[in-house]
Amino acid sequence: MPVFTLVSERLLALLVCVVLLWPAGAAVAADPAQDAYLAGQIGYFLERDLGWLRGSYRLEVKGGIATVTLPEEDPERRATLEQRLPTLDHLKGLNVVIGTVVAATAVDEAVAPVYSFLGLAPGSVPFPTGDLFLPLLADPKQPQFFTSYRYYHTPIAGAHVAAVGYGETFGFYRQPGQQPGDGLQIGISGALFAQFNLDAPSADLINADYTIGIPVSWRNGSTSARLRIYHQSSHLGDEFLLRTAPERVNLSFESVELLVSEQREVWRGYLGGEYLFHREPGDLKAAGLHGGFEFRTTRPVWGSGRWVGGVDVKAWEEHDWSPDVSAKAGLEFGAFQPGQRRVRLMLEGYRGHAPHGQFYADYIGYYGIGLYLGF
Amino acid sequence: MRTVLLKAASALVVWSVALSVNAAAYCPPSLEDALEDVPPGGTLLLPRGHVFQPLIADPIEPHFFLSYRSYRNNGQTVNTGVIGAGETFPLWRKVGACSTDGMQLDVNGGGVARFVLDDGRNDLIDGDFTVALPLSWRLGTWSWRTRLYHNSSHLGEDYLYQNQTPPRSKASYESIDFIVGYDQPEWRLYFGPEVILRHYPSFEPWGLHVGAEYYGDRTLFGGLGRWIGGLDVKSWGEYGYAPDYSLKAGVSLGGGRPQQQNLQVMLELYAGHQNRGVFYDDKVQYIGAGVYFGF
Repeated sequence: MPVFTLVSERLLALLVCVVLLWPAGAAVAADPAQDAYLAGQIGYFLERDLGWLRGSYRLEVKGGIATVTLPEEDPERRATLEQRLPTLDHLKGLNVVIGTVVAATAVDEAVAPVYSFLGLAPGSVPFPTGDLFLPLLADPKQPQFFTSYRYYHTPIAGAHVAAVGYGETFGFYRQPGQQPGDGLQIGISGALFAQFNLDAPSADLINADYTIGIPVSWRNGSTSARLRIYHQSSHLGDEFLLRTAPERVNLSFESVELLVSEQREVWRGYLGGEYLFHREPGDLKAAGLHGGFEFRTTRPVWGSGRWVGGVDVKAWEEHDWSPDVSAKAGLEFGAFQPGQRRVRLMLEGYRGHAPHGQFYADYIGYYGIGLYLGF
Repeated sequence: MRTVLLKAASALVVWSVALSVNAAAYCPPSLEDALEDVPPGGTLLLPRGHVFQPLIADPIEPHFFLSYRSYRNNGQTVNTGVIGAGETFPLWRKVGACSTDGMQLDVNGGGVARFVLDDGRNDLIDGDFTVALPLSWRLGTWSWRTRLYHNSSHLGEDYLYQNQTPPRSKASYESIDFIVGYDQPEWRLYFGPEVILRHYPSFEPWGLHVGAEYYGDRTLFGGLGRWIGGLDVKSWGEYGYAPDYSLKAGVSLGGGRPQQQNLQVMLELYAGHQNRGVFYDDKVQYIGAGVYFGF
């Protein structure tokens, strides 16, 4: 008798017994507190439908009456809330008040000047959702989830390529700022970027880059910054290696990067640089400049969509400061803030030195379309 | 094959009936916090949370993690670092009669890379890439998930340079799995079959999957943490249905809700066939510790 038959019969018998003997869970049913449920519904509306940042308001529901606290008088916000809040069962009233959103506690005198300089406030947020420095739209090495279909022009030939990325930024700790949405945060970010040659018989893996870093991000109003120490190691794909036997360059480095960003209405500009303080090959030159701009329209497109785009430019000392330009533009759905779900469908183009592992010396170009997912 | 199909189908029917009967009109308080607070009825695009919680101890569940693992294989010990980058991204949810009920379509994917850490090296052994379309559903304390997924595994260049004639350089497959879960306030049991649609190299297609998980109510560190753990068992026809065990247990820090941003520190034990990677048919044991990041 086949082993599977024996195993499956026993499992089936066990399964039936478990199902029949399992106690129904309905005995412990209990409705959740009405106020808590209302708070969940209203909070969901504020953040998803109105796009309010978590932490930019305080919400309390008591006895069916909701109180929304704003940090300062904001007629537009107040009017939007009062006009658009849907009718909810058991909601008896809505109050909008001005008050403290973040609980106030004393700041140690020793660190008060630092707090003042950085615009920080007392309190702490362990494992905060999202990041204070918005992820870069067009940076090819921004840790994020994506899949792209691209056509590459390389020094050897053209190729259809599938590029995938798995990556995100995870916040460990946030020191809140004096205004909602501001603060100082430390986290970890990691990503895997891989390229597959779709012209090869079995969609050969060409290259994979692994990055892991510790980002420190800061925001004070429209100004934000990110300081990141990170490691990157790059590995050729097995099939590519066996099929083409290229000369191997074991590219690996540790780098420190600083970017400062300024937001002006729908536009955002950023500028900074990085330095590879440990690198292999050892003769790789260390310095790089990084800048770019982005736009994100406010007029809704197809419901919760909006137009977005960005141009990202990097220039490396290794390449005599020749600019590597990445441009992406398309539609974004969902919330744009990190920590909330969003999907972007973007056209993309690139011209410059390859941002893919040991091919960094090759001057390439590509264009394509990509689907980007944000958490 | 016909007998196998009939028995698998029978099992699923029994489970489905049981699910409907036991769960009707029951909104479990223990799961109220398991999802974004959403009004019952209607649909949501890009929701937060999952109607079927990702498995804690399943070795192929996409997660962000860093692990240090000491492998034993054929009497040899190899110390490795394993890095995973992956998540489940909810696309759409139809909310059921309770806010915790409903049907959800996700996309999930991840990459996992294993590096040898012995002798000061950090050689890449192999890497896996997975992409999947899960469809999940919850009714009361019962939930299920079916998932069509692709996995490809590739040898690391360091391994290739050191072993000019590897047994193979690549393994890939597409598969459908189906899991039924039953939740209690602190526990979950799950069971389901899996069938591989295509496997390179060839592989006996049927597999079974069972497990149990613990998600403690009692908080630690002033409310910041709680105990968690999971035992995951898979058995494949390819290996005569010999079980492969994965055990993970530790502390979850962060959000009180299972899918609020959290950090999990867990001890890991594994005994069985690797089931992933280029050397999927190697029988190994490992002990290790990992840090898992949940979004």
